[in-house]
Amino acid sequence: MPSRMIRYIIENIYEFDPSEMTITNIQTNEIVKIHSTSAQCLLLLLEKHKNIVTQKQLLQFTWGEKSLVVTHNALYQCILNLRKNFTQVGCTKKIITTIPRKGLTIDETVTVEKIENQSNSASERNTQSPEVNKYLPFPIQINRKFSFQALSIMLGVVIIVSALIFASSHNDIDFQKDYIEKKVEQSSCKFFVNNDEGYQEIDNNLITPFIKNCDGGKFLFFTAYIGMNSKSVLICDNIPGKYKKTQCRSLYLP
Amino acid sequence: MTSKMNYLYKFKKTILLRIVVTLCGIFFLYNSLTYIKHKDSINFMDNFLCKAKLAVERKENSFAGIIDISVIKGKGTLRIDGIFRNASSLSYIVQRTVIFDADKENSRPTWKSKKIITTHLDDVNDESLVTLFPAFYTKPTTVTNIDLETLSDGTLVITKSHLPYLYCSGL
Repeated sequence: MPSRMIRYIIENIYEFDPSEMTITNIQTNEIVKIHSTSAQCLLLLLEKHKNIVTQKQLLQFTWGEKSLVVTHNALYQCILNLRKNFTQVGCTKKIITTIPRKGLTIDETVTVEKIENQSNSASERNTQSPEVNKYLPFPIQINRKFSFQALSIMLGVVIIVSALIFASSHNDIDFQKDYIEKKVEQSSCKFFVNNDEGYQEIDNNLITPFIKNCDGGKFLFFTAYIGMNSKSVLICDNIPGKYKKTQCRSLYLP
Repeated sequence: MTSKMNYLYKFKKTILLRIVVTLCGIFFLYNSLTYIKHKDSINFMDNFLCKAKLAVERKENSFAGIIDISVIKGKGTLRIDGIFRNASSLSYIVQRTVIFDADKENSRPTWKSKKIITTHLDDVNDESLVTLFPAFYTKPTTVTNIDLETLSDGTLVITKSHLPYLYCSGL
């Protein structure tokens, strides 16, 4: 079903599209996406061009029934954001003027042109609640923002859950990193000891029998710690943990 | 001109969103598959199987054989099968099953023996065996403290006092 599409040209330079919630600088093609509440505020100010809009009107128009619980700070934040948005698209002129103790206005020094045309786009159908709708001259897509928020939350949850799964799945140990190779000449086997402590605790007396009985390129991992009598030797056909089919037998010396 | 810009803006936004959603989907899928693959090793303290070749030597006594451990939901059995040799080079058969509870103390595994079942072939005396193995292998209600570690390829290694004790790569 066709719906009306309204845009506003401000100062013949800045185009405000309420359905897309964007302000575009027609000259430089700079686009800024504005917050939905800011878009609502701007819309009302443009509709009431040259007139003063009270805080109450703005609150009611923007937040509908919720306006009773929305603070004035939220409204000022909206206006502040709007001013910032205009600056972002290169506007140096003061578009929104505050009238002390009365409200806000877009005064007569600012030119505003309203453009209307038809749109068949389904995405531009109105989804506002009836309470808010009665103030709206045309459909505004608030649910779109909601869907973006929901999607962002969903993606966030997916990323967090994935990260947790990733962390719990990758707590495996790199066996070899705790060992350093001990060079032994004239042996087809490779000998490793557990870093510094192993170097001190494992003497040649322990290694020698294995050098003599080395059969076919085995990998031997000696583990010992200072102050412990117990020692252990893993005799493997490859580096443990590196290949799935690595076979090892252990020799424990209590 | 403006409507063209709007169209481009919407188009870019849609493409970007699709890329982000696709990447997140791939990331989630990859991690789910990794989780399924490593599921057993994640819960390895409660459920695992281990078959390993073990030799133990102390002074003149030695043992060489196979240890087969099965832990399911905190209930475990350990089968030990091998030859014990003493200082006189006399050899004895070790062939027994230890039924134990696999508990956790501060997330570290603690195995407490419940029952020792020996086969008719097992002829080693317990006094000799305890020179190489903890009392867990000979007496009920005794405890052995071990640690379980998984290597990058998923292989389980059982350590005692940080020393590799059993490399569970099968036989």
